[in-house]
This record gives sequence, structure tokens and C-alpha cells, in this order.
Amino acid sequence: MRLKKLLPLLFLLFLLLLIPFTGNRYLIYVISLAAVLSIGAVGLDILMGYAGQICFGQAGFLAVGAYVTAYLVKQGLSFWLSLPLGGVCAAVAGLMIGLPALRIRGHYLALATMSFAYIIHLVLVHWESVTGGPRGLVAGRPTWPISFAEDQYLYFPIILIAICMVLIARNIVKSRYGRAFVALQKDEIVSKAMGINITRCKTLAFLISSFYAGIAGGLYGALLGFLDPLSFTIMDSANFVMMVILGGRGTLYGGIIGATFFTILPELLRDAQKWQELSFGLIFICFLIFMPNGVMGFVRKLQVSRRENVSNEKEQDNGKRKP
Amino acid sequence: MCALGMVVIFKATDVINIAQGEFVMMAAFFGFTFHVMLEWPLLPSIFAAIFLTILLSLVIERLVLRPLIKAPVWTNIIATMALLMILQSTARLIWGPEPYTFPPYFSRVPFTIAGINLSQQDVAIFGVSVVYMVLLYLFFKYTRVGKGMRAVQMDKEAASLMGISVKRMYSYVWAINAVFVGTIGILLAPLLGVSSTMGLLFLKGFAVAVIGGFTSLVGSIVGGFVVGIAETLAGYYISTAIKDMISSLLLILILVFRPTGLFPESVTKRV
Repeated sequence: MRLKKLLPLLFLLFLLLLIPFTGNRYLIYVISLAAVLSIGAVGLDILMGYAGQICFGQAGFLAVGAYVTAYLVKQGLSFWLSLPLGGVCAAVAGLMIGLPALRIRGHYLALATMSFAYIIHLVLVHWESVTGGPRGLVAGRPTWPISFAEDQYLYFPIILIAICMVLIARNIVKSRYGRAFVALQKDEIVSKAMGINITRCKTLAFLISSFYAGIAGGLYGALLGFLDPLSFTIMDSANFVMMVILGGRGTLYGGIIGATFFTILPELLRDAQKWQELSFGLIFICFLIFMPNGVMGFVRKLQVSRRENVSNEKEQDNGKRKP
Repeated sequence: MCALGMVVIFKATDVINIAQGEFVMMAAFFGFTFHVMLEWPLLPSIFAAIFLTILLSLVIERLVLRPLIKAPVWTNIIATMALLMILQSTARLIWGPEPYTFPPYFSRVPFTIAGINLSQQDVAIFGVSVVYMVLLYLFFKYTRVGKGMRAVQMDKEAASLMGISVKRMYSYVWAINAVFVGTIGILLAPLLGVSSTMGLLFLKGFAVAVIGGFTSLVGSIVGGFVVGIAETLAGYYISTAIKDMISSLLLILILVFRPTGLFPESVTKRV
């Protein structure tokens, strides 16, 4: 049974590894980008789908990671050292926004994180000596152990890191803290009564989420080779939230689906640029109304109903198990 | 005033309308179409524009927000964000990306009262705002519909048990908001010009609304003053780069230290 579950995943992995050899640069770039965004979305899913917080500032953390990494690389530090440092800096920023989250919730938290992202955006624009302001910053690529100047070489570390990050996220979610997050989302007061340290859990969730964003940011910079403040606006933060909702909140893999969708859709609509924003908005709204639990939620619902059909004879039994 | 409309929506329907500025923009464009393109006289075109804005709001409420009444917080926020994109690109498709100028309603010659220079425009905006606020206050306090809205805000289920149609109340709320934003759009059109991106200017409305306390109407007015004054001071004494940041910074600070705004309504959360 376990093998049967693993097989499609292995097949997918095989396909992913095959892609660089096709030599199709465009495809390689799109998939790398999807993988990078997936890291950010999966991180956000831990925060939103499991810990039940709201964060409209993911692009802000992405920016922190990207700029710190790019800046350190520019100062001559190795990329592989700068990347985790960028992640850590983003996590510290996440801590800063995690602290207010201890006191506020709901709409107010959404607004606070949103204005936080806005502040980061403004810092990027105005702190020209470090960030290059609106002119942007050149982001270096890793040169060790081999030069990753070509997209098809950079592809491998990106995919590898993305897979590792997703696996780590999966383990976090299944750990004691992951279960505490879920409890937190269901009912804060009850989970407090059960002995869960709410303060620690909330800050931890923000830390993890922003660390993921920081790593994604560092890779994003390396992939694009150039950073400018316009790629980290509130709209981009909202896109991350949308990725999580679209893929399915609280499923982790949903984040990957959402991120992939978000990378491919603009590419598909490239010819109709005039209509792009309009159709984007319409697609979002349709998703929100007709598939509120995202793609993964939809798939799960299908699975459940199919299973119910199969065990139609044992309906009574089934009814007992599913309240 | 923009904040005021947002507070009305939030107060009654629990939705933060990110696309508020886009409604303002649509209203300004409607006014522009009637007044400048079709060369209607001023008053009929104002009324027509407000009417169209109401219509637009009602359609949007029915199609987009009503199915999402029971959805979680972020869904509503994302939905209004998607609305923002839709309205903006629609405006761009219809009226094109370039900004237009709108003929002023009043002479630009300032006059002086007690040593303060004022333009007729400012006085008109201020006057209309005050009138609207008073009307809104009376509306919420005394009319049947206003009372119904307050009941819905307190407890949806209890209100519907009392025979109040929650859905209809929501439609009314959006209509009221449309009157507000419609008026704002038309009043400000000569000052700001009309363009598809003008709505983004109103994002600051959030900061104002939150600083004043999202649920309090008086608060949103005071919040507006606080943000305006703080921005000017910071721009003058520190640097203009800081100016844009001030409203966001204030917002975060207020949220952390006074989570319910400057003028909180006492709400106790029960298990």
C-alpha cells in the first residue's frame, strides 16, 4: 500500500529530473520558479493552514531573504552561506511581526502584516545604498562546487532544496508542535488549558513561515539574477495567500499546486496581456466561491465520496465512523 | 470619509473592503463620462454617477460577496483584492490607461476666514462630509433599517430569528457605501484627476480606519486627522521618505498597544 502511494511521487520526481536534459530553457525556468514559490507557499501554509494565523506579508519576508542573500554574495560571501543567513534574517523579521500577532487576530492581524510588508517595500525603495532603490540589485549565483550560471545547472539545487524543505515541513506538521498548531487553530483557549504554550507556538509558526520565505527569496534572487522592489509588493503577498487557498489550506502539497498554478497561469495568458489582470481576478473569485477548500480539498472530497460509494452496503458502519 | 464607508461595511458585514478605492475610481469615471464626455450638466451627472455606483456595488455584492458570507477572514480579503484587480483592469479597458483632468466645480481663488486660507473646494468637501456623517449617525440610531443593521452586526442568527433579512441588510450596507464612495469620487475628481490607478491612493484609508478603531464611526474621523497630521510632521522634521511609512508604522503600533483602536467599543470574547 505504501509503495503504491509512493510510486506516483517517484514517477513525478523522475520526470522533474528529466526536464533539464530536454534543453528547453523556458520550461526549466518556469519549473524552477514554481519550485521557488512553492517553498514560500508551503511555509505560509504551515502558518495559515496549521497554526490558523493570517499573514499578508509573505512577499515582504521573501524580499528580506532575497536582498540579504544578494547583498552578502555581493560582499564576497559564498552563496551557500548567504542563503541560510538570508533565511535567518527573514525569520528575525518574522519574529518581529509574530510578536504583535500574539495580541491581535482576524482582520487586524491581516492588516498589521499587510502594513508590515508595505514598510519593507518602502525600505527597499528608499534605502538606496544597500538595496539599490528602484534601480534594483544584481543578485549573484552560486559558484561552488561548479558554476551555476546556466539555468539548467541551477535547476538541480533549487529542486533539491525545495524537496527538502517540503519534507521538513511535512515532519514539522506531524511533530508535537504541528499538532499543537492545529489545536491552536481550532480553539486557542482550550489548547491553552491543555498545556500548550500559545506564545511559543505562535511565534514559532511565524518563525518557520518567514524562514521558508527567506530561503525562497534567496533562491528567487539567484534564479532571476536581479531584484527590484516592484516584485515584493502587497499584491505579491496576497498572491502567496491565494496560492495557499487555491491549492488547499492545511495540506502542504496544496501550496505546491498553488505555486505551480501561479507560475504557469501568467505564462499561459501572456498573449492576452490586456486581459490578464481581469481574468486573474475572475479566476480567483470563482475559486473562492466554488472551491473554497482549494484543489486538494476538492480532491479529498472526491476521494471520500468515492469511498462512500464503494462501501455503500456497509453504510451503517460508515456512518458511525464519520460523525 | 473613505474610511467612513469602510467602517460602515466592516461594522455590518465583517468584510474589509480592499477595493474601496476602486469604487471611488469607478464613481469618478462615471462622473467623468457623463459630465465631460457626454457633456451633461453637473448635477444630473453627479446623480447618475452615484446611481451607477450603487448599481455596481449591488451587483458585486450579489455575485461575489454574498456566496462568501460564511467564509473565513482571508477569503473575504482575497475576494476584495481580486475585485480590486478586476475593477482596475476593467476601467483600463474601457477608459484607457492615461489619466484625465476633470473640470473644477468651483473657482480656485482661495478666501480667508480667521487667518486660514481655504478654497471653496475644501469647504465643499468638508461640508458634505459633515452632512453625511450626521445623516449616517441618525440613520443608524433611529431608522428601522439602521437598527436592523446594528442588530445584524451584533448577532447574525439572533437578528434573522427576529425577522430581519440578513442578506437584504448586507445589500443596503453596500448601497450606502456606494453612496459614500460615489460622492467622494466625484468630489475629489477635480483635485486628483481621473485615472485607473487613482484607487490605490485610498489604501491609506485602511490605516485611518484602523487607527480610529474599525468599529467606531467617530474614531475613523479622528484617525483621519491623526494620520494626516503625523504624516505632515514626519515629512517636515524627519524626511519625506518616512512620510509614506508613517501611516503603516502608526497602524502597527496602534494594533499592538491598543488592538481595538483609539476608541474601542468594549467587546468581550467568550468561549
